[in-house]
Amino acid sequence: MRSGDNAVVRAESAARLGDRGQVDSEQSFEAFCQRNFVLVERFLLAQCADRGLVEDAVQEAFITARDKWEQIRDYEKPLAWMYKTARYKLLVLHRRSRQDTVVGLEEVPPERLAEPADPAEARELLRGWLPRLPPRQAEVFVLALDGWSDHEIAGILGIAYNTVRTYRQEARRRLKELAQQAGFETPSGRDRG
Amino acid sequence: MNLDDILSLASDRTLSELERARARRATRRVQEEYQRAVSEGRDLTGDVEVRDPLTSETDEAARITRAAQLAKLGTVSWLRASGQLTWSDEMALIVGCPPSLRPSIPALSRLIHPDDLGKFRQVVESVWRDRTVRETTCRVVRPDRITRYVHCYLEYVVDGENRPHGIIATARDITELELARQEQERLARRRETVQAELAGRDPVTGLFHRARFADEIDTAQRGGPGVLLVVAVEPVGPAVGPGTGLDDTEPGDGTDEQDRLALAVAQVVRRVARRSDVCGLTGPNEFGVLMQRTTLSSATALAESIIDGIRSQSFVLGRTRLVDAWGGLVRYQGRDGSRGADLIVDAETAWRRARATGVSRVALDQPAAEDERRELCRSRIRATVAENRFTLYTQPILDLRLNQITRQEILLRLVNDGGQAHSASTLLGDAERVDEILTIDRWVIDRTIELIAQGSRTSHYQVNLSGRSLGDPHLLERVQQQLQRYDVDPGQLTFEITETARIGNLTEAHNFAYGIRQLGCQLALDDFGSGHVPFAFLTYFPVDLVKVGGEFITGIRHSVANRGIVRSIVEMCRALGIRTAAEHVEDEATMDLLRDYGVDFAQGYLVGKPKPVTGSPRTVPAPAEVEPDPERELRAATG
Repeated sequence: MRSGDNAVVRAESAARLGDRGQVDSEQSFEAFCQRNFVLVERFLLAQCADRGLVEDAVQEAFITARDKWEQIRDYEKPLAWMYKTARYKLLVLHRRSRQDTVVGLEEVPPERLAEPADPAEARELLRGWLPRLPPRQAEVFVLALDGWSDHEIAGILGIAYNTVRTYRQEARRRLKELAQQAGFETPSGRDRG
Repeated sequence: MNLDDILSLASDRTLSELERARARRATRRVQEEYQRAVSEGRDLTGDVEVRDPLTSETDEAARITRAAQLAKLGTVSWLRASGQLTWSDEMALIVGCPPSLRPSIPALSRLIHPDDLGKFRQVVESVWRDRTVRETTCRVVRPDRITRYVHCYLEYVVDGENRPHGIIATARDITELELARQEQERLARRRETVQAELAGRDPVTGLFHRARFADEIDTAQRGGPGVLLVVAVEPVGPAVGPGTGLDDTEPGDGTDEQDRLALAVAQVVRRVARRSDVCGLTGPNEFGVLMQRTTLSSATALAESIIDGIRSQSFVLGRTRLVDAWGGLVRYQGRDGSRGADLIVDAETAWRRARATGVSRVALDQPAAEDERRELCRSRIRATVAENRFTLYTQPILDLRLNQITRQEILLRLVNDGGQAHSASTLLGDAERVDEILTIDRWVIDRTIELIAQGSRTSHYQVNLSGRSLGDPHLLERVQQQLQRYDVDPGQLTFEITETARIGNLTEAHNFAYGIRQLGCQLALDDFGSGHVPFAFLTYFPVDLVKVGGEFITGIRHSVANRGIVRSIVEMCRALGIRTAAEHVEDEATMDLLRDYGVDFAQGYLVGKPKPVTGSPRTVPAPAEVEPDPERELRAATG
């Protein structure tokens, strides 16, 4: 979880580079974009399987960020605004393409899969389970995993603090069930290094 | 490995080399697009909130309301301190009220569909009590009576000091989504309850039934000329003596023997027929082969090979038996107006002529003329009746209230030259078609009443009567005379009406129905649900009993569709004061299910197989007990 904060810190230090001239602003935005574009994408991919739509939403969000960078770069955590805005852009795109007619997944137990070997595989595995959670719970969980505090999540998603706490716990409980059904229930694998 | 291990792996935010390259490309694209948007003078932030989402804000309700507004969702909030409700303009729009209207709890309750209000209240109460969040969907009935489905998140909000502050509902009109979901659910159910393929195959041989085979002929005929072959088979054996009426080596109804023979012959027919030929089971011991695009002579050669194949083989039917076979062929041109059913009748006429003249097959160059065909059919039926080539069987019916057999159904069987009894369904079908069914019905009624007179005075009998015969003005009189003649209590007799679609004169049929009930007899409808009986029929015909078609009972345990249909028929009949019976009951689980549904009578192999009538000891010796039905695999292996 700590690594998530590190990325934010890196982004912020990039944003604070040098004086506030036009060139520096440009540079700090590019640094911010390069560091966070993929992270914002990952956040949206946890709730939408359509990669093309997600990419468009993230791009639009960053274009807006570029427009208001002078203001946003001063926020304590500009990435929070990025998440909130990208999420909103995705919602607009969804409605425009009428893709919000979500189909209910059938309640079949998840497939037994091989153990993930690297972070990308672990995220892929998680991405298979998240659609089985209520959408808001999935969002809360992904943000919590990203290292955001409950209050921050409440701000990003525009929901109550108590709601975040409840959803985070419920999501975890449900994911644990799914992981067990998929065969991941060994007490702990940390000692394997 | 467990969830925690997976999560700690997944939370690694390091970018791979590939991802870094992608991020660089994406950044370039963002810059380019931004420049373009600026040069086009596009408004980039109009719909976006430029405000740090993490600025500490004490009023949660205000923050949630703002987020909802941005996402075009409606909100209603209730604050404990004031006890007041406030809603957003969007919310007023969703429930179809002017935004200026001040909402109140009673007014909001009136907007929610009465059937959903209780659940909605419970959800709100649990949110407050458990300090949690819930979601629910309810129907909103707008002031203009239009109903919409609305989904709500109900959140518990606190004030700056983390004290209970109120509840806020974030709502969205999901009518389109909900309708799509319901439609999906309906389609899934429909997939489960509808069969992809039409029924119409014989379960033993897998060949098409007569009606379905006739359809196949109709379809083939549109494609041009061809030849239809019907092969009839009959076991020949020393055990059969003339005049006994029944094959005494095979007690019971001989179903097993017939099934085994049918299966074995079907194999011969399939082996010899060309791959493109369509095969069918046109009747008991009668097989059809439809040959498209062939000449009469090559079809005849194929018929010869089938007949030789059957004759040269001995079949294990209880014991080893030889089987004789005859073929009837008829050539059709296609588009010449003869229907499939007519061609089958012509081919049957041809094989009968072959047998009568002692040859193996007769080939007709063209279909018979319509008049000629009808006349032949009629005289054959009259001859069958005159020669008394029928016999009656009875099948027990269980009264599920008493768990006791209280009734018998009288079934008609045809006795062939070999003395075997088999189903009369083909003959009955022909008789319906050429309007000769009354002759048979009269025969059955006479014999049945005679039989009742000889049997127990407490038993009840159900006898089949064609809807066609109901229109006969003299039938009622005849029943009355016979009842008097044999001194039979009319209360012992139920008439099962079959083929209701063929009721010609509804007024006469109506008179008969009321008349027969006045005598004291009862009326039943056979094969309800499978035949052509409109529901309205039940309201103007004084029916006492409805027999649910066997096709709904077979496999009912595994069919949602059949369960739904049977349950509904029983319920409807109960409301109309009509009792219900189920046919083809073959296992205990089905019986239990039917009992649960409230079906009154059960009939089928589990209750008892049809047996030859024993009530006439003067002419027919009492047959031995019916052997239990051997395994189907055994039956299949004997071919």
